Amino acid sequence: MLASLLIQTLNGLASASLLFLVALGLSLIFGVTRIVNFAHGSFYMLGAYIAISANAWLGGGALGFWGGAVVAALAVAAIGLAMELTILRRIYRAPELLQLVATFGVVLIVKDAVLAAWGPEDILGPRAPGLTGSLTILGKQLPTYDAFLLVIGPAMLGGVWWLLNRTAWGLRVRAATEDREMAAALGIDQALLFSSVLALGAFLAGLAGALALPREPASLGMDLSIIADVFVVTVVGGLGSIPGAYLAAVLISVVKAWCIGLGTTTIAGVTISFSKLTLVAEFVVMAAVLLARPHGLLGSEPAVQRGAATTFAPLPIPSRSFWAKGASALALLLLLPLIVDRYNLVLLTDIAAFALVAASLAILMGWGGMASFGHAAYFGAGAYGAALASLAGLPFAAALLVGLAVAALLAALIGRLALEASGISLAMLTLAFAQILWAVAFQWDEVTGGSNGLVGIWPPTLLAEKWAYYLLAISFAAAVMAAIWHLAHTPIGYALRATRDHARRAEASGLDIKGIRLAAFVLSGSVAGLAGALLVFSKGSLSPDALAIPRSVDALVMVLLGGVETLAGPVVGAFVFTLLSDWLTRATPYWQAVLGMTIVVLTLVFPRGITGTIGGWLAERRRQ
Amino acid sequence: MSMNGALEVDALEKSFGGFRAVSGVSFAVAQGEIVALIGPNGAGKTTTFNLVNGQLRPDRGRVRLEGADVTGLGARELWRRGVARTFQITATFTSMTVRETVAVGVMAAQAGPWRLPGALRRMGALDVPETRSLITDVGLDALAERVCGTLAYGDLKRVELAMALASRPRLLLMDEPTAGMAAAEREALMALAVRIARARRAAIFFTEHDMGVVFRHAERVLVMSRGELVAAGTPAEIRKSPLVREVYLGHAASGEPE
Repeated sequence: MLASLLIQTLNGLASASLLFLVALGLSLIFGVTRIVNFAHGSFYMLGAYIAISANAWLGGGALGFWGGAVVAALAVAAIGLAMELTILRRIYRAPELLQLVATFGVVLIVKDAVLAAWGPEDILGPRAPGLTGSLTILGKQLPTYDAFLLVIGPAMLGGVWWLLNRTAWGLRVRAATEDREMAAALGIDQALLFSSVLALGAFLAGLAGALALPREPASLGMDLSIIADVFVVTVVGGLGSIPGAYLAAVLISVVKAWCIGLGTTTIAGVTISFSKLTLVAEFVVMAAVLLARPHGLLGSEPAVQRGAATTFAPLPIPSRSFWAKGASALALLLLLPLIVDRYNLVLLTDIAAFALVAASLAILMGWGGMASFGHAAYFGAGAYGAALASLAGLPFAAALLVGLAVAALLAALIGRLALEASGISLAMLTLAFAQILWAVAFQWDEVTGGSNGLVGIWPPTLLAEKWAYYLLAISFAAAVMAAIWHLAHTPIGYALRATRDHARRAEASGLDIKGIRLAAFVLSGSVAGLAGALLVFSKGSLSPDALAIPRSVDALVMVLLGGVETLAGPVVGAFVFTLLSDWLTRATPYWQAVLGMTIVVLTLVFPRGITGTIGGWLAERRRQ
Repeated sequence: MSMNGALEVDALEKSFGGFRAVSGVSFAVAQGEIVALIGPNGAGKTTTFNLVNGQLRPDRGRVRLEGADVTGLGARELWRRGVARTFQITATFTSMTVRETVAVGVMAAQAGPWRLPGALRRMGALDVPETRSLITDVGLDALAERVCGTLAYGDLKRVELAMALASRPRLLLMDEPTAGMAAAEREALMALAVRIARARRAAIFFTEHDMGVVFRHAERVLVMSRGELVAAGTPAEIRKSPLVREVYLGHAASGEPE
């Protein structure tokens, strides 16, 4: 027992090393540029794929493996550099959410590039020559390669510490991390510094990807699965703290390894399957650390950024003519079944649901200024809640309510934990929560149907026709939208915007900041959950995709595309985005790359969204 | 110290690392009294101020409000006990109009807007006379519908003053209220704050760099130097005190950094 626990611990430490290498790069880049690089998981994935090709090109063997790893890391460093020069450089001053979304555009582009170059199948990588055996410790076997990895993490920690603390370059990096404006004022060449940090960070991620090959095959899903873990590690360790990241990587990996090692165990007559608790364990560790130390294990209060404050435009009060326009738009939408075919009615039902998701996200992002990056959690929870309730025999209306309630509860739970953090940490945490939920839905075959999902979820006969369900969905969406627009200018709407505009002022004026933000989470989660519940009855089936990261990002892009500064923005965004992506998926197999490029261009050219940009143009014309 | 003191501070101490920023500071502010805290840079004014407003927690010593111990309580707890504050760098709700900003402050102190049916009504419909009279009091009637983000600095200071007064405080804490303003504006703002506070029987405790403002408006002045309270008295007494001259001019004369 003790021996196997030790082996699991060493195993965990080996995993921690790889996780740390990726987190280290992410932390370095964040420290200097203040950008959380979503594409860091893509760098890791690229490292793995390039190493496989480089290994073959170098003729395999020791040269192929080690040389291939170096070639892969260097190639990824070059790609990171290219990304800095073409994209990041333009968005250093943009709001953090926009930065996160822009780098997610790169995730999509890289994913399709890898798909095009290496194909959709998983590829087994080479094993490390000379390290294929195993060591015997207390009678148990530990792969020699794990022992090697175990050393790599601390070695890299030491190496980077030396680089940061003993070189002139490191001094500049530390200065820029401490105070970017001051470093620039003192004549430190920002452009060169940022580029070199990006290259180093990408190098480390690429190296980690290459070194991961003996343990896991290269696959198209490795980018998002590692990035969620890395976000957890960085936030738990303390954003920007490198030793903290290592500590967190060790803590999480070892706890996970123990859960796997313990397998199914009977304690005091109760049989617990620990290996199934692996995902929940990560969640529990994260929750425990953040409740005890809101800034992470070794983190401190984030440095105040000069000139980074974003001011928000006033949220217009819906006028009579706004309501009149809304009512005529609704009337037109209700007449559409007369002229639109079945396919497009289903698409329009999708749009109704996504408009609600986007509007609910805009409550958090727009009114609350809170970066939620895991909105799929509530959408998916609503969908699963409603689907399971329906399959258990509950009537349609009750199933919708169950979906809403499940999402509301989940939002309360996530909000309670994630609100310990703020800003970009909040975004990373919400994403991690959603990813954990996705993994649970993916693996919990007995309840969620696992990767196959659930089928046979249909509305009552009265609503069985597509046009009938469309009318219901549109009416629901319109009613909820009207309620949200009204709520914007009720006390809670004002209070929420007050906490966004100046949290300390709001607190000194007696507003309960955490309570107000939590209320916003629950409201937002409920609306997203209702949308998920509505959609699942339109489709008749449900898969874990409803909880996946791309679903969260879709919602973000809808909101950013539409613009958060206006009331109708999220609805316009949902409409344009859903039509666009429907058209793209039918037009090209590489739609993800096209979507990714669209996202990048959008964030660079229309940072205020469609409605915001058009509104700006109109205001400009009126002035002339 | 009198039991009816609005604020009583007893033997406060605070160190940062090895540096003792505040040591053994005791004073009281009576109900409705207007008291200034002054001292050269690095004397410990801001630390003392932040120990009082709950932003910092003292290593030793107590802060009492009307007899109740409030040491280390947060901003919202202090607000509940009748303390309001303004910030050194103006803090308003930049996306809202002046009227809305002040209304948020007024609303926070009421129960109605937070329960049904008030919680579902538009805030415009919840407009109370209190908001209007505050805006009139600080002289912003003409700018009531302007968005705070578009106002001049001096006007923002007035908005903040109105917000701070919205909770009907018995003690108003002002951190360098006139910092960053032109000379004429400074005088006007402080006169306004003092006039309103007197009318509402609120005490004011403020830190300030402009000695003109301090001597004209404070009823009592506390002087800090090197973390300690070195003098206290009426403006006339302080102006004449050789010790205070020493504190301010002695540093400059001996060439020591402030």
